[in-house]
Amino acid sequence: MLFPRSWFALKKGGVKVGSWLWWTGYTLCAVWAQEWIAGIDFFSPGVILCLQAGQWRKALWLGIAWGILQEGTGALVFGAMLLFEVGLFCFFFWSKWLLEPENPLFVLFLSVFLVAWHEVIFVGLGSLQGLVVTWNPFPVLFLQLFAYVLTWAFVYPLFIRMVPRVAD
Amino acid sequence: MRPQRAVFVVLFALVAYVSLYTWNWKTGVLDRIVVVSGLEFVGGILAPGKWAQHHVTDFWTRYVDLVGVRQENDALLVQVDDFRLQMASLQQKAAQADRLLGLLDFSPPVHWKKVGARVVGHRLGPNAVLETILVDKGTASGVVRDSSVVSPLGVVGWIHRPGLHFSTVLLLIDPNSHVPVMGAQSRIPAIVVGQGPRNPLQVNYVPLNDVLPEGELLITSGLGGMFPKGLPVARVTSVQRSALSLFQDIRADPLVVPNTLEELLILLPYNSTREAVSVNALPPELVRTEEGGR
Repeated sequence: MLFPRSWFALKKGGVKVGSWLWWTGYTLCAVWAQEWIAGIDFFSPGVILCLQAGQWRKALWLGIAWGILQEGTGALVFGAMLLFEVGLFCFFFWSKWLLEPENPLFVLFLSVFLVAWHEVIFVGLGSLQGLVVTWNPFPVLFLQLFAYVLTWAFVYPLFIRMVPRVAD
Repeated sequence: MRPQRAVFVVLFALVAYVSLYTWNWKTGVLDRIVVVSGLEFVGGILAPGKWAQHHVTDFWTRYVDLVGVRQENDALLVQVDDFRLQMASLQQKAAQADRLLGLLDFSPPVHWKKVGARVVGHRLGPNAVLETILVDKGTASGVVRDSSVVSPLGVVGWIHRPGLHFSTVLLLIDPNSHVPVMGAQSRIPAIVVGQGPRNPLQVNYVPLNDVLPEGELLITSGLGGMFPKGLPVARVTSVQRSALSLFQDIRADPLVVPNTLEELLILLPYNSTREAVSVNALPPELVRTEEGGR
């Protein structure tokens, strides 16, 4: 294994080194993934992981940090990612009433919502700013859907191995 | 939570969001903060990787993949001789044009400073809804919003959001791009509008009576002051006349394929004292109009 599990249990001066390592690594991978596949979001599965693990504060901070990062690299006036993240949080809590958060169907359900929410927000806010923002074609929407589900399916098994040690 | 309280909380959040959004739209404070932080962070991650990739590719093309270099070199030497002859002739004509301009007392053209930049990323993330690329030059290098971006093949786009060391470039193919052009031979003016990736550009406002033939090169007209005059932009691929419109339906292919770009040039306007100026500081006749430069 590239990173021994014991690394994630490290704690120095009250700071969870393992958690920092994990999320720094996730951020780097997500940035590169977004560079390789244009226009696709790889950060939201990370927020979903946090919410599934019950790490509310961490989900909030990561959501804010990644939101700022994505606002900076984006093309619209500040506010679109904020609305997107708020939608993610609201829909997560609403979906929890219907399905177990660990259920893969839950992630699929959430991903479908996020794809639709993204389209509504960005086309809406784009036109509000006088920009021509076209609806993404279906192949791109499916690509985003698969990116959410596959990223979650790939990262979740790794994450639950570390969860007891990187919990809030 | 009681229903009235929940409604109040939702309404309060909505009002707070709209207020924040409107305030930022008017002042741009949050935009500046997120552009600097977001672009610096992402650029800082991508730039070293791109640097390594570039050097590996460069090493391969320079030292390993040398098949046919001698033949190519001989052919290039012949071309260089031709170009030398052409250049000597053109230099004479340029000098003559300068003398004539001086005689006619025309105002001197705006000078342009070139800043080289490397592409470090493409459309990054879900918020990048426009066709953009990320380059490794920002305000620290004198880059300002709306600076034109070109490659040796032609116009690429312009700076959409400048950060400190990284900036996003809005590409010519984006539907929000409007570039004033003219035919290289016919000198017919038009506006080129992007239609998205893998789609030809649309050439607008060419009257039915004007003749802009297929295959003609479109160059920047210099109107609006965003681009210098004479940069190649696109080549006309189809011309159709409609009975319902006053203008022809013309399509053109861009000369630059954005996905293959690695290095490009950012052009900054200069004033007569050789000091870089922002587009906002240009004389009014050079500042682009809404239709003329975006």
